[in-house]
Amino acid sequence: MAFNSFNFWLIFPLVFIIFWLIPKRYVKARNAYLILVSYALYMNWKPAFALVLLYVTLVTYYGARLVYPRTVTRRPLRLCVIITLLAAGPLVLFKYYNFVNDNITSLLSSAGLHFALPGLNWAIPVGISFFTFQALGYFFDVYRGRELPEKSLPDYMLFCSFFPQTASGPISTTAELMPQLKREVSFDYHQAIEGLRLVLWGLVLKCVVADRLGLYVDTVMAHYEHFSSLNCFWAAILYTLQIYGDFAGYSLMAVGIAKTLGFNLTDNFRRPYFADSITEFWRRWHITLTRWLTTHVYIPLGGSRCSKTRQYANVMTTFLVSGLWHGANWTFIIWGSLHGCAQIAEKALGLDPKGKLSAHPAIRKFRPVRIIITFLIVTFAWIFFRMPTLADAIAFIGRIFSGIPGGEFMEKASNTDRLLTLFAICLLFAAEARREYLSERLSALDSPKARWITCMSLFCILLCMGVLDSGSFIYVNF
Amino acid sequence: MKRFIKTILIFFAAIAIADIAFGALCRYFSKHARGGDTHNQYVTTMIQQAPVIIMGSSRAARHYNPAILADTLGREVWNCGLDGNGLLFQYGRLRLLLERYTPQTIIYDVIPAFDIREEDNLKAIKWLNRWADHAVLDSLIDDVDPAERIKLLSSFYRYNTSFLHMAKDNVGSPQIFDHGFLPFYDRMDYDGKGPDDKPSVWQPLKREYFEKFINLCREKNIHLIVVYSPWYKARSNRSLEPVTTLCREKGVPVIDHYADPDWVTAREMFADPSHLNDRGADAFSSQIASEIKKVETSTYK
Repeated sequence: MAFNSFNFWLIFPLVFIIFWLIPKRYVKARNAYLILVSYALYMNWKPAFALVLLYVTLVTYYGARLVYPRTVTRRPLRLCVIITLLAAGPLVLFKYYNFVNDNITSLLSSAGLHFALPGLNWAIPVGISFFTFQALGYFFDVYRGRELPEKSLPDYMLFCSFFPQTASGPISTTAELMPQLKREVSFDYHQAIEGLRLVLWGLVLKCVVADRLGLYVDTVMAHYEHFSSLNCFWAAILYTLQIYGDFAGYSLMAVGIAKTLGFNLTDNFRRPYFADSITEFWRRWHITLTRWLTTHVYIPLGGSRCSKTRQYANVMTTFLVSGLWHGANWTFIIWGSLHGCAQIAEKALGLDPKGKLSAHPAIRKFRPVRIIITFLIVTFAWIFFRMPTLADAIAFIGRIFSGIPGGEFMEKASNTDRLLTLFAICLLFAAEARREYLSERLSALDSPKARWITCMSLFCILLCMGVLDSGSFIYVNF
Repeated sequence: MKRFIKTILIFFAAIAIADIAFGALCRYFSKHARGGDTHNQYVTTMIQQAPVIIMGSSRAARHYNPAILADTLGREVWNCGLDGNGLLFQYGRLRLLLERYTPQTIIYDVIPAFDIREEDNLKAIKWLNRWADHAVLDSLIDDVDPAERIKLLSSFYRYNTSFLHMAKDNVGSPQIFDHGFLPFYDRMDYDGKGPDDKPSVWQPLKREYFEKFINLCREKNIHLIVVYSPWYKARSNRSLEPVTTLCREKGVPVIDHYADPDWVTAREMFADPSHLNDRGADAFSSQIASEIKKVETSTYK
């Protein structure tokens, strides 16, 4: 069930109250209750999906017990590969089968061989990439001896299905979440209030910013051939902000809801559009996925402790995996490749955060320019991410650069929509800039009175300016 | 925990006070608008009593000139069409009109997207939110989403995003509609595409409410005439087939100009592929007026 749906907020107070009514010493009862709630909410998408979640949980749970190295030198690699394939099986089947099938079929037909396997017309289980990666992360940690195999199946079930994070993360590590599932937690007023504040800001990001901007983005990107170059470019910028509002909004709600129940999840975003390089961008965007890919793909490939050429290849491989993780489409592969190429270029030029040039005073002076350039590169790459096919993405980019004049600003949008869009952008920019640059200087805004006024204003803005149609989250599809 | 509950209660009490004040302001804006959609929708729903009304989406709102129709029909005509809205909204509107008076004739302009096919029904009835206090809308709102009635308790939700529009229509010089009619003055200076020609499938709720709409008209002795107005480059009326079949079953007359060869290539009459411009609207109104008169006489006598 989506966090921006009215039904969720009808149910959640009940979930919250019952959870805290269970005495803290009954940790197992609390966990059993949370498993029940998590599966019930997950089954609300489609009941059969819960079987996939349970399957991945059981395979990685029992698999981890089998592959845990009894000695430092002997690790059952073959078994690890088999269990990984078994655990990732549903992800591959649901997400990549049609893509691989279509590509092989068209390759064969171009060679004159007409052979086709039937396509699968199944809906992809919600959040399959997220919970599969979280479960595989645990499995790899155990395989490498970084974690002990979990003894309690219920605790591990909750680790994989914890409802705030099942649909779109954050992807927690074993070390982060598992100990929290085992400790006795008392209700903490400040943590709960902080959680609700995060939820509120998450809802504002989703409903007031992302969904508002999405209205114009959808209009333009579906019929870009009718819009001028400037409006296509503007739609690309809006999509860049929309996807951030959408995904960061979800993540904040997930973190906030978990906080109200006494759990701390990792923040997934740290003002990514203030990054001054693509390398820095990935330290601020979808932090938990970047961490997962670094730990389980980039470092095992050799990371940066190898030759330059090998390191560049590792970067590119990691970003190709990232692209494929997002979806089975060439558009995602190109999107990942663009980010990989940009990072390699930064490393080669010494412009990445650890590079020789980035610390140079002359370069540091131009940080605002670098932020804008990074933003534009990210925006360019998002076009591939957003468009349904590679041909559409290329045609859309062609439209932007063709210099087709005409049309007013945000043509085909009403004045009210223009006003609400600009308001959403200003709100987002003000909040992000404040946290990036002014958090210490504006500590007066952290007084209880100021917090009350801010929260009340945001709540009113949410209700009277938000798009309250429970629109789905972009990342839920991954 | 007590402190937490107390904080939450105080917060929502403060929000409730703000909500009540906001609601009062929006109701004032709604009643006192100088023009624009706010004024037009208020007058259309709460004041006018024309015996002949036009209903439908933006195509209805832009294609039928009440003055021209009134000349031929000899009765006052009011255009109740509304951009981006279809059957569910117009059913609600009819229930609201019937609280005050009973029109003699309804001309309903059909569009597959809003009257037949699947869409977000909450969006479809959003314009009715401001009149949600009227009990005649209860069953419609419940059928669309049972949770909606709870949400509509909040004025913030009820006037969500529309308050800016309402405020704008209370200041400056907003557009003035003539009997609910405001034509498009643009000329289509490009060769637009034709409509989606695929057969339409009923969204179950729309089918149910189309039948209810027909039955309500019959019960109140209202002459219902369904019209398919022209669409640039339309090749067939296949997409309207479900309505054609239903009207045939129910004995409701249909006047079909959707893919009329005299209209579908007349680019100069269109503002965009789906909408006639002022010139097209006047010409179409002249043509349809006599057809309506003839059909009404033959069917309902």
